[in-house]
Amino acid sequence: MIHTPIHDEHLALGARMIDFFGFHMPVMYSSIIDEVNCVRQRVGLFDLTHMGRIEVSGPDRLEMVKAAVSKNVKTVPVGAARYGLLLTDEGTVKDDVLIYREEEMVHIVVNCSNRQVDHDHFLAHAKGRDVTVRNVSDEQAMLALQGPASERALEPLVETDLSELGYYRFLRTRISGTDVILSRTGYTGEDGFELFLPPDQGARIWRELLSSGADVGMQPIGLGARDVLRLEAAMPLYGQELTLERNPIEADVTFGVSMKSEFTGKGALVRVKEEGSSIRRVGFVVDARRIPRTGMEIFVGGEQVGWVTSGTMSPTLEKVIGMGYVPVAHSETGARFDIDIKGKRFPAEVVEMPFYKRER
Amino acid sequence: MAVPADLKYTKSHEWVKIEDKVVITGITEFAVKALSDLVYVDLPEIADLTEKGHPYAEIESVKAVADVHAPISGEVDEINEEVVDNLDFLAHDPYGKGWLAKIQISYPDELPSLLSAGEYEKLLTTQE
Repeated sequence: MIHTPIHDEHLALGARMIDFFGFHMPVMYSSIIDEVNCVRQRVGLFDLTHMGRIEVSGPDRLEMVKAAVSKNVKTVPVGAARYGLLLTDEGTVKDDVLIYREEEMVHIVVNCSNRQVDHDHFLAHAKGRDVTVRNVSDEQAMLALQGPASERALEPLVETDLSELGYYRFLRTRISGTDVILSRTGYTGEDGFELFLPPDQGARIWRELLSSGADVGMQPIGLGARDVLRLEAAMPLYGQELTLERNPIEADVTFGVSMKSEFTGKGALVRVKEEGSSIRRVGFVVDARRIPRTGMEIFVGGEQVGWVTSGTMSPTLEKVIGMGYVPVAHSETGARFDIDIKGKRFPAEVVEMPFYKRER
Repeated sequence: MAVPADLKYTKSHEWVKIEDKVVITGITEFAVKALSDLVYVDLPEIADLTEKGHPYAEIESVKAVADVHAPISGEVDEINEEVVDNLDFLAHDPYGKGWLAKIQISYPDELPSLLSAGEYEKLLTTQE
């Protein structure tokens, strides 16, 4: 199994470890609920080195990224990050990514499970263009600080006035003497930062962040809590809400699509838009303490009409929540259906997403 | 990890207290820690029949659903209804207030196959 530069820190902290797409990663340190609360109320530290990172440079870089990603990179200001999708020719989702536009380079952060697929996607779009595509996943460590106290925890170590760095903006700076790329992004629905740094400095910066954050109650956070946090924020996860079978209209992620741009999969999306799609991603709450799990079936009357993609007990809302696909006719807020949990039907109701939204 | 000496155990991390014609049973502290973040306990009905080694209850945690296996074959005599609404009993006192069921013993000759505290502790050392 692959070890990130932070691996030994996880072991020393007593984390419970799992195999996550070939990486030996922490699933929890204390408990999932405790870690979710820590991020919602204070600040948590994550090792995200397993995520994939791709750099695109050269004169044709903007043309190439524009063709490869559904969000038009040319409309992204230098110094900003945006959410976008890599699509098949059929308009279905290969991956969801963040693109970071720098003066001379575009950085792309991709899902761990799709490192190779995405690298190939960009290489295919690089043919005949004057660009260099580099998979730099193994040349960087990636950490995240998430939670309302993120800025206070990071401030003492960073050579930048963080109050000047807006949401979905990034810059190059130094943290504790090390050159990093620092962005105000995340996958939890909280304020926070993600940082990209040399792997040989990863463990040292991890320790310094934990000790600097001790004053504001910082804890390390595992992948278990990360999944609950993103679900409370109704953020889709590749492999669950987003797959090669679903398109961005069904998945309700059209904020990641620039319909005026030209990109792989656009023709198919235009057709889906004209013809209309029959199903939609929804968020629902279940009035029971049973958790709907991925793949469980959704019924209206006696008929199976949809399926669950994710579910959990939300510690923040103290409710059982989930997401899934249902026919458009049953996707309005307030619509009701039943979920089959191990042979028993439990009523659920469609609610507005996100389930949780921070106060700004 | 607490492993009270006066109890018997199963390889699937249930504990058993033998009291004349019934056993009291629950899950061990190791099992509680492994599950973490408990959400729900589904107990059997009184008079349900149990079969040694087969699931008779379910415990749901944030991450997964786990079966609880019957330590012996028998008939459910009593269930701990309080634990259903007070999962903290299970999380913090698995050998006391967190008991799950009392089961009438059908075959007393099944009892010797249960693990002693010493044997169970040895099993735990291979699992950490």
